[in-house]
Amino acid sequence: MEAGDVSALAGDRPVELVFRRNRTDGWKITSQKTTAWAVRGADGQAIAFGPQCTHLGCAYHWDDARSEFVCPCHNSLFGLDGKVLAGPAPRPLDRYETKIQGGKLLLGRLRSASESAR
Amino acid sequence: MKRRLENLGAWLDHRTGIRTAARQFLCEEIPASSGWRQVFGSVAVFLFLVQVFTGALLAFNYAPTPGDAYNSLRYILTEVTGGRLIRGLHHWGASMMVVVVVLHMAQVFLYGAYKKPREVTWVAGVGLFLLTLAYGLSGYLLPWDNRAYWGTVVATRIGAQLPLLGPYVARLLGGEGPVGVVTFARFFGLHVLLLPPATMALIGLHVYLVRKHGVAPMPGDEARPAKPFYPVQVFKDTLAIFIAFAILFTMAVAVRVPLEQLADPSDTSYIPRPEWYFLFLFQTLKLFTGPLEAVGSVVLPGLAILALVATPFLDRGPMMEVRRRTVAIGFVSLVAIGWTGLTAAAVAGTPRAEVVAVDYAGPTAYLFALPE
Repeated sequence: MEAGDVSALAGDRPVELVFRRNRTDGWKITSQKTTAWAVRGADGQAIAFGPQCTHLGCAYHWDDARSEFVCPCHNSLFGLDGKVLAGPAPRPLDRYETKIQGGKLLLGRLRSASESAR
Repeated sequence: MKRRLENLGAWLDHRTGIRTAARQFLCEEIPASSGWRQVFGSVAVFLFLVQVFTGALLAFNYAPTPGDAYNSLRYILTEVTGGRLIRGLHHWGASMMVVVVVLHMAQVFLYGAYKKPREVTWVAGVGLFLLTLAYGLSGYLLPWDNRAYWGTVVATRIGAQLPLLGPYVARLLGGEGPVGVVTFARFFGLHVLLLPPATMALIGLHVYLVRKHGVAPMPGDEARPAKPFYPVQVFKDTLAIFIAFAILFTMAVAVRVPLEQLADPSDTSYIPRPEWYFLFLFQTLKLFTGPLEAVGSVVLPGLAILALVATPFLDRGPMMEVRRRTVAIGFVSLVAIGWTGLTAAAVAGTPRAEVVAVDYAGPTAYLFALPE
């Protein structure tokens, strides 16, 4: 689904993209506000991280002063590439499948970083 | 008139045996050494009854589905007669119950009252303690505000980490995906349908065993005559219950229970924290990173529960005066210090988030707040 403009992406700091997606929640289908942290990778590719910390699912955020993703729950830190820098997180940030179409960033399913690399 | 009442009493007793039952119950003999330190069990039962009563009153005005839960709780707080008091009693009653149950356990532990033949009484008590915590965990989600939502996200993820059982626990709690309607229904069902009868059954067993074995005597009691439960000990229990309720009522009136903003799964600025009595576990999680993670979330708490259950089977010496039980005193002190230290560290490590004040007196815009 469409998440935002590719031109907004930068290589040095992520952009928080907010979009709506339909989610099947038990017996309900809800249109849910979802976020992704999108950044332009070293090779110019767009990378979009899922909004939850890989430790226990808290929402993390970008700390501009430290240039790191910070999870406020148990102090896990992630780099701009999603790698774990410190804290209890067991694996790098999950990534959305991405596709660029006509200047728009499209996001697909959320996968773990090791799956995405394959 | 008096004759009539007496006749009525005799008639009722003849048909139900109620007088004999009451006499049997009240005139139980207790050791000479018993007194104020034995009041905690009665207070805990009383607080449980307060929770049952206020919980039922809340349920009469509450819609147990995400989104609506929040709106109906706001309705309880703003529209229902005495709604804020009822919720205050239920909220602070839960905290107080944890405190009183822990005090009860600490007293029994310090005095070694779990020793033969009271091992099963103790194990049933450990079960009741765990049930008390389970109420806290499942009830935390029910307001469906940000605090409830994010706290439960973390709690369910920890459940999913359990060795072997993890995937099954995750499915039982409503799947590994985001916390949603299924998880909510499971937590609500657990909180109001499963836990209360389990608690009542276990309280029944616990009290039955206390009666069967009698209150644990201390060294020296064999030389002194036993005393009846009624009236002195009944008075002490009643007074303790009264004091407990006075504190609870004051807190319910004076300390406003927060209701934060409607749960927002896309809020990336929210800093989740568990209920205060779980903060030490939360802090422990931070100490174990990487592959050791499960040590903090699963192994240590599991070992602690196991140690509690095993206590009466490990410590099997004869009854001693409490002053001579130095190991027990040292152990309780260590636990108290450890708990306080971890909790203080967790509080100190929590950045002061701007408090989201919900305007209780505001217009009823919440009616349009749809679940996201």
